[in-house]
Formats: sequence, structure tokens, C-alpha cells
Amino acid sequence: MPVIGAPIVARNILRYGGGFLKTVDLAMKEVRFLLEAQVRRNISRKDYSLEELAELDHPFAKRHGERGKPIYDPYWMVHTRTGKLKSSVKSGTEKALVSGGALMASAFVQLDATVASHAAYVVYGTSRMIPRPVLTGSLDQVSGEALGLLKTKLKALTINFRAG
Amino acid sequence: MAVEQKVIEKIRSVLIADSTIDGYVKTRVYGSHISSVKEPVHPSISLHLLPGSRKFSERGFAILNIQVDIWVLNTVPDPQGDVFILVDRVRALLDRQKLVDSTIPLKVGMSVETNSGQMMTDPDKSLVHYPLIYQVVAA
Repeated sequence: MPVIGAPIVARNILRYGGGFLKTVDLAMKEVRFLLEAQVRRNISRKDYSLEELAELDHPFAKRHGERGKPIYDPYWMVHTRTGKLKSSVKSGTEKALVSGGALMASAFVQLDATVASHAAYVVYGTSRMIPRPVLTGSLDQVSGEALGLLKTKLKALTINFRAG
Repeated sequence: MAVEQKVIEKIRSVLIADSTIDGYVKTRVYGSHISSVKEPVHPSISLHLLPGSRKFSERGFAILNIQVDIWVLNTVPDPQGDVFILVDRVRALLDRQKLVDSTIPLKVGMSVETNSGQMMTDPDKSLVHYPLIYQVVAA
């Protein structure tokens, strides 16, 4: 959504100093932890052993369709075998900055393929196995909560950055 | 027709209409993930709707996440080169593009690439695979 007088708002934010951007950074850190916890929950299912998955006719095999056999809800959750995928979870934030009249801040959670070489195959699928987009799915699950968290933190700053 | 189906159909028709893509995959742009296609023929492209589609405006606009996968046989002379040619064309056609189609009817406010890669060798060793993710705002 375009902000009327955005460059002036951005200038006012910069004049206010580091307090505003520090608050944004702290809020993004909380978003990061929220998302990381959700990703970890979603890749830590222990409901079925390998033998049980075989007995269930390999639920993620292509013969069960684009979303597999419905053993999990949502369908894309991942079970733990060796724990390597969990060890591959990495997260971080990028420092908030104001540039060209826009405020930019970000938090990320990723699966490191150098730790778990199968991570990309799980997430994107293969010719024989359905994709399980656990990062996109987790983000979708917590996006409402993350937005609420950001709003609350920024509302607490009672500074008026109005442009006009 | 649901907006998700319209977007998949539109992306499919845009890709098929491109002469470079046509030279490689013909009409083999599958409307679901390759793992659910019976006896797919390669090279090919498959489209997969990711979780997280949601309406966000009263005018019916929704945000969709679509995975576009490029599949090339490992037995051709330069499979990775072919993959990158197809990746370039997909990007040119879908990244930061407005796709409007009055015949469906479909309005795509914007289609933006949000993630891509890595180049993967499929476990059965006969395919090279490259995924791209697009976020599409459509109604």
C-alpha cells in the first residue's frame, strides 16, 4: 500500500534515531524465534517408524497423488529419522534500515543443505516423492501471529512520524 | 473455476506459448507436481500449488504460492545448460509480470519470484531438476 509522503516519514524515522530501528530489530528477532520454533515442530513428527510408514504403503510416494496419503494434517509435515534435518535449521535477521522512503527488515529460517543433503528433496519433492513445503507452510501458520507481534511492538512506540 | 486453478491454467498457457520453451518441452507443462503425473515425458515443467493461499481483499484478490519445476533428462549432452535456458525463459515470462486474461477471466496483480534452486539430481539419477517459487497476487 503506498504511503502518502513516505520520503518525509522515512526522514522523520531517521531523525528520531536508532530507537525506532532497534525496536524493529527486536520485534524481528521475536518473529524469527516464532518461525524457527514452528519449523522445528513441523519437522519433528515421531508418530510413525520407518516400518510403520512402509506398512502404510509409503504415504509420500507418487502413487498417492499430489498431497500423498493423508497421515498428517497439514499433509507436508515431516517425520524425524536421524535428526539431521532438525540440525540443519538455521535462522537469523537482517538489520532494519530505511532506504528510498521504505523501511526494510527481515527474519529468515532455512534448512542448510550442507548439514542435511536431503533437505531440498524433502521440500521440493522428487520425480517419485511429493514436495513437503515445510518452510512455506510454517510461515503461513505463524504469519498472523507474527504480524500481530510486529504491530504490538511498533504501537508501543508513541512517536508520531506523520508526513503532513 | 477457483482462482488457484485459473492461475495454474494461465501460467501453463503462458509457458506453452513461448517458442523457446516449446522447443524443449512442447506442451508438457503439467498442471500438478511431477510425482503425481502418470508416466510423464521429459524434458518437462510441472506446476504445484503450495500451501498458504489466502484471500486478502474484499475485491477477491488472493496470494498464491506456486512451485514451478523444470525436469531435464540427464542423458542429453548438456542437461544443466538446458535447465538454465528454461529457467531464464520462465523468469522472463513470470517474474514481475502482470498476467491478465479476460477469457478465463483472471487478473494477476503481480507475479514475483521468491525463491529458486538448487540444481538437483533426482534420486533415480535420470533427471536434473530445478525448482522456482513464485508468489502470485490474483483475482
